[in-house]
Amino acid sequence: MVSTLLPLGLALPLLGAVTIGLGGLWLPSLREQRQLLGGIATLLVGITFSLFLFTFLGYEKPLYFAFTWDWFALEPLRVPLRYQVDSLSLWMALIITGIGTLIHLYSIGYMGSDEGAWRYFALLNLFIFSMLTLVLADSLPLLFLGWEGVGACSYFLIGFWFAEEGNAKAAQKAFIMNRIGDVGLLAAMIILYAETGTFDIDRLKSFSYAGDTAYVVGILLFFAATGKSAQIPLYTWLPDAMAGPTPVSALIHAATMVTAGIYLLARMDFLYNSAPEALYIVAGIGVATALLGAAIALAQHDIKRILAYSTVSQLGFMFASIGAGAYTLAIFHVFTHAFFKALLFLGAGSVIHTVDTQDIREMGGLRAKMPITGVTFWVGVLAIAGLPPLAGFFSKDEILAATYTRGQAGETLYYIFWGILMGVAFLTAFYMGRMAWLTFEGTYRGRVSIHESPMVMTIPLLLLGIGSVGAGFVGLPSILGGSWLREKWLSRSVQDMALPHLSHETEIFLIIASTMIAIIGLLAAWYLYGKRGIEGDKLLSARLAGIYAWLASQAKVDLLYERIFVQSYYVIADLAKDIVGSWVGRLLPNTVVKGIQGLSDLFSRLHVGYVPLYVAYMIGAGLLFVLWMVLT
Amino acid sequence: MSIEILYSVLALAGALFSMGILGLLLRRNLLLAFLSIELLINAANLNFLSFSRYHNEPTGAVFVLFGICLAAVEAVVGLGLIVRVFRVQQDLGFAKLSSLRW
Repeated sequence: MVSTLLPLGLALPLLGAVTIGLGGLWLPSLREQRQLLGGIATLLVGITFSLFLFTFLGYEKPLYFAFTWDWFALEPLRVPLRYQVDSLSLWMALIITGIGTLIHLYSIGYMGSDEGAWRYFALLNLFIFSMLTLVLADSLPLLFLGWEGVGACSYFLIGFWFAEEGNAKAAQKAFIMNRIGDVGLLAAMIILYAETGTFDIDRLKSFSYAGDTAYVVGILLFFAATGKSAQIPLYTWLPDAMAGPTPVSALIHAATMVTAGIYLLARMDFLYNSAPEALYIVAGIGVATALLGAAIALAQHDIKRILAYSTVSQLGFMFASIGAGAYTLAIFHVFTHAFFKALLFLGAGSVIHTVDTQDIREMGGLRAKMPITGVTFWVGVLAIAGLPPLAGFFSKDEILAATYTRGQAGETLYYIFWGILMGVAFLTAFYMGRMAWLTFEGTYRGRVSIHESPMVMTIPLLLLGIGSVGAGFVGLPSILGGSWLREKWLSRSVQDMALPHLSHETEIFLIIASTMIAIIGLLAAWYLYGKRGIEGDKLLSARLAGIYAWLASQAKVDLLYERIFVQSYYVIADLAKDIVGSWVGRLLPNTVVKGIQGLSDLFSRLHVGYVPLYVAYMIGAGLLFVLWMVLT
Repeated sequence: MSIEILYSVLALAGALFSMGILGLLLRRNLLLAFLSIELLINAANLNFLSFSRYHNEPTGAVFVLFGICLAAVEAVVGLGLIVRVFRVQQDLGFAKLSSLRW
């Protein structure tokens, strides 16, 4: 029954985007009805969520639905609008629409007084639609449509307040960085099509791939994922993406956009299973990104920037998990991360909404004035720090265990990865603790009067808080009964690499180790920032000296890219200007012009202006023609 | 039509054509040059007609009808031009007719 309504699930967010967008465009009086428009947008996504929820409850086998017309057909290539609802895409759709609904609801409060709310809600709905297209697509071109749609929507929303130049530039940066990654996806699609002659994901699965092809395509897909999911080298757009409204950041970081890369790699699991070497690179980049993101977050003062770098770092964890061959585990971390990262961003938005600054040095002691935001934010912090039994603990512990398992299976490299990730887990607990203590504890350092946010904003916070506590229980470690999500649900459509089982002792050791590291990190944060407040930063920067300044300037990566790519582009452009300008632009046309001028000078001398002479030319030419005819 | 008659008619046409060419080249007067062009057209028409009769083929005769049409049109334009030239320079000689030169 529900399956017949599934196309509606896809169509409703699009319907919302079109009606709200066009309605706002053509009926300016409608723009004033911000609460109404927000309510409609929220309701549509909510209905979509419940549709997917009912599908989930009655799920037996993968469902397919298609619209009767094709997207395009260039025989023999035909791309139908066909969608696939299997356990992976359904789970992603639940995350997207579930978290998305809460963010929509929160936005009614957050954007309630903004002039462009109609534009905002239309784009938010379009974002959800694009992301659903991406995860439900049954073929690669359709997935690519969603992929690009997500990129476009993020561009619009990051640059939502485009009147300020910085925001517009951040939007362009996000767009361009994503375009660079898209080259990888396009190239991978072309190679796959050349190899197999189909774009259909199910059919692609049935082919067996030569190691080289799988390796190249795997690397290209991963490159695409580094763009969308903010990994080294293309992650720099994500910290800037906070230029958009805060709920948009929550949407980008939690439910949509950055999860696309993880989803893509999990969807193409069969390729990585045929080319395990590609996974070393995925794991290496993931671990490096996790470390870099966490280290940079340590030295930032902008609350949203800290959260952005923590997302970069957590995405690194997910790729490390994929790199260990545990694709379902990465999806599990996407799931838990969606709750606490949405919670943290919305909590930060609630703070920014009232404090009117993003600088944590001007906050402090906020929990007393805004208890719901404060408490839920703390829940999010403890969850991402990995304190049991909150959601983040289970997924992070499993990721650490998975890399450790690979190490035990004889690949020493993964022991190193495990060690670094343990360090990153410590840093995560530390910088998250720093942010929470500086924001919500101690004494208030700002000047503006503060108050708790309205219900429409706190209710999503409470719901996400509950999720951040409970979401981890769908994926218990095997010692506590095994992961339902991974073994019973996602395994129906995603094939993890076979890993040996850990002994119980090792597993307990790993659980204790990752718990300890989280607690130590939080204690260190308390020691520096809980006791000393903002003075802790001075202590830390004195201790870390040059490294701290380097981290505070975001590792100078933007500068590096500026030097390497932008400058060299200018050099090449200058060179081209010289060469093309002097040779092609001047010398070549000048020669041609001169030659033609000389010729016409010559011929114009034949024109003496005496008509009988022209007749003589004519007769002479005629005679020559006749002569030529006779001779040949 | 026998071949001898064809020859003599062709000779007549050739003579007309040569007179036209020489007139064009040697005459210093626009109006006479124009007359020479008419001679050329009619020499060509005569050629068409004689071959048409010789081969019993009506295409040539039809062609001549077009040629006469063309000559009439050309007379209108040409005479108009000549009248205009005379108005401008009060003279029909070629010598002065060189203001369009480079």
